[in-house]
Amino acid sequence: MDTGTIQSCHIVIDKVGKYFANENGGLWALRDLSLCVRRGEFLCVVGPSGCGKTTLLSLVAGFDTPTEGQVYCSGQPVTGPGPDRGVIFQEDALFPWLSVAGNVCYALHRRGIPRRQATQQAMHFLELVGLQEFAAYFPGQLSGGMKQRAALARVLANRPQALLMDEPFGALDALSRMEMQQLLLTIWRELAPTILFVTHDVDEAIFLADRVYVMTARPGRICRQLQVPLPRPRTAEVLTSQGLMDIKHEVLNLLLEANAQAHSRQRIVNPL
Amino acid sequence: MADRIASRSVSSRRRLDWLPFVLPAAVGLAWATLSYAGRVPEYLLPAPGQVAVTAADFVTGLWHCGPYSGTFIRHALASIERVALGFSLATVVGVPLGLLTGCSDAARRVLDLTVHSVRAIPGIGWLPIAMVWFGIGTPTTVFLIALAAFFPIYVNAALGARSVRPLWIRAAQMLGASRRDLFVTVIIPAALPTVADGLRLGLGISWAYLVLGELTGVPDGLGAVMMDARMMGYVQIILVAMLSIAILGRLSDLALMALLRRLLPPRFA
Ligand SMILES: Nc1ncnc2c1ncn2[C@@H]1O[C@H](COP(=O)(O)OP(=O)(O)O)[C@@H](O)[C@H]1O
Ligand SMILES: [Mg+2]
Repeated sequence: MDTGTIQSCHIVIDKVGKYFANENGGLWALRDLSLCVRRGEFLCVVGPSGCGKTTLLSLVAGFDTPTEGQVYCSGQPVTGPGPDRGVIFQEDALFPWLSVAGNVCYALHRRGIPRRQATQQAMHFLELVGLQEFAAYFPGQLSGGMKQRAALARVLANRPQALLMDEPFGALDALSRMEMQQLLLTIWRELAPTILFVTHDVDEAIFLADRVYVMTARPGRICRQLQVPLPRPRTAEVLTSQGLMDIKHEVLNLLLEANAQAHSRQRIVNPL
Repeated sequence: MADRIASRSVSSRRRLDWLPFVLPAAVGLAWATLSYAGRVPEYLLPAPGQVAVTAADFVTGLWHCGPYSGTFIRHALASIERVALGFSLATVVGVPLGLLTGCSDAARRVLDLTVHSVRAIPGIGWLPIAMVWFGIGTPTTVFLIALAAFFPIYVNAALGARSVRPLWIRAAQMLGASRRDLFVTVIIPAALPTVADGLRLGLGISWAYLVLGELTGVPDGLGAVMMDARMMGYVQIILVAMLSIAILGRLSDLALMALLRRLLPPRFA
C-alpha cells in the first residue's frame, strides 16, 4: 500500500500473512490480506468461523506479529498492544477478582489517575452502558450481555482512538444482541472512535457498518468490499428493509461461492 | 427452593452442626467399651477416663498426675513457635519463587530441575544431615519443617501462575499494563486461590515434620513429650500429646483459611 494511504488511514493492514506451525505441518491462517480503516469509520469484516478473524484482530491489537506484511496504526507500524486500541474479546475477559467498577478503573489506575477521580470516570462510563447499578457486582454475578457491557465500559474509560471488536455479541440471545448493537451505535455517534468489528453474522455486519469487507477461509483473505448506503441513525426497521436484504443477498452469494470453490479445491487435492 | 437453601445456610451458621462429631463419638464409645470390658491391657491402651484426667491435668496442673502436670502451654507454645517459623520461612521463599517459575520461562529453566530433584529426597532423609548441621533442637526442627512445607507451596504457586488465562494477560496489556503491572495486578490475584491451596497443604506437612524434628530429643515441644513419655511407659500422655497436635493442627488450618478468605477477593469465579 502506498505511503499516502498508510498516512491517511487510521488502521492499515498491508499484504499481511500469518502462518501457524502445527503438528500437521502448519497452515496460513491469513494470506496476502490488505484493508484500511479510515479514521472515525465503522468497518465490519464478515466471514465464516475459522476464516482468521480473531487472528486478524490479534495482529492489529499487537498481541501477535504477522509472518508477512505489516500492520500500521496512525501511520506507525504496530509493535505491541497499547491503550490507543481497545479490544473487546469474543470471550469474557473481565478480571473476576475485581468488581465491575474495579475492572473499569483498571486502566485508569495504570495511568496514575487518583482513586476518587478514577471512580468518578468509571461511574460515568458505567452509566453510558447502563450498568451504574451494578458497579459493586463481580463479573461472576453478571449475565453474558452485562459482561460485554462492562467490557465495553472498561475499554471506553481508557478513551481509545480505535475499538477492535471480535464477535462481541456472538454469544448473546437475539434480543440482547440487538440492544447491544443499538448501544454500540449510540456510543460510536457520541465518542466517534474508529471501529474495526469482525463477525460471522451478515445481518449484524450490514446493520452496523459504513463498509463491509467479506472474508473467506483457508487462507483467510478479503474477497470483496461493499459500501453500506443505509441511512443513519439505524433502527430495528433497517434490519428488515429491502436495502439491507439486497446487500445481504450479495454478501451471502460471495460467501457461498467462496465456500464452493474451497470444497472443489479440496476435492482435487484429496481424491478421497 | 431458593428460600429453603438460604434459610438452611443461615441456620447452620447459628446452630452447631453435630454430624462431624458422630464419628469421633463412635470411636470413643468403642474405645470405652473395650477398655472397661478389660479386653485391652492398660499398658497398650489406657481407658478413656484415665486419658481424660491426664489431659485435663496436662493443661491445668490441678491433679498433679506426674511430671507433665500443667506443662501443656509450655510445650504447645514451643511447638507452635517452630511450626510458625518453619512455615513462614517456607512461605516467604516458596510463594515468590513459585510465582516467578510459573510466569518466567528462564526462571523455570533455572529452578525446576534442581527443585524437583531435591524434592525426590523424602523429608526424613534430611534428618541426619540436619542434625549434623544444626545439632539437636529448634534449628533442626525449623529446617525440616521449612524444607518439607516449601515443596507444596512452591509447586502450587508455580501452577497458579502458569494457569493464568492468557486472555487476562492480553486484556491487561491492551489496557496499558506494564510487565510489572502484569505480575502485580494480574498474575498474583489470578494465582491466589491456587497459592492458598499450596499454603494449606504446606501447613499440614509442617505439623508432620514438627513431630519428626522434636522426636530427636529436644527438651520441649509436643513431639518431645511423646518421645519422653514412651521411654517412661506413660502411654496416657502419648495419646494426650497426639490429641493436642490434632487439635492444634485443625485450629491452625482454620485460622489460615480465615486469613486467606480475608485476602481473597469475595467473588472469585
Ligand atoms: N495460535 C494458533 N496456533 C495454530 N493455529 C491457529 C492459532 N490461532 C488460530 N489458528 C488457526 O487459524 C485459523 C483461523 O482461526 P481464527 O482466527 O480463530 O478464526 P475465526 O476467529 O475467524 O473463527 C483456524 O484454522 C485456526 O485453527
Ligand atoms: Mg474468532
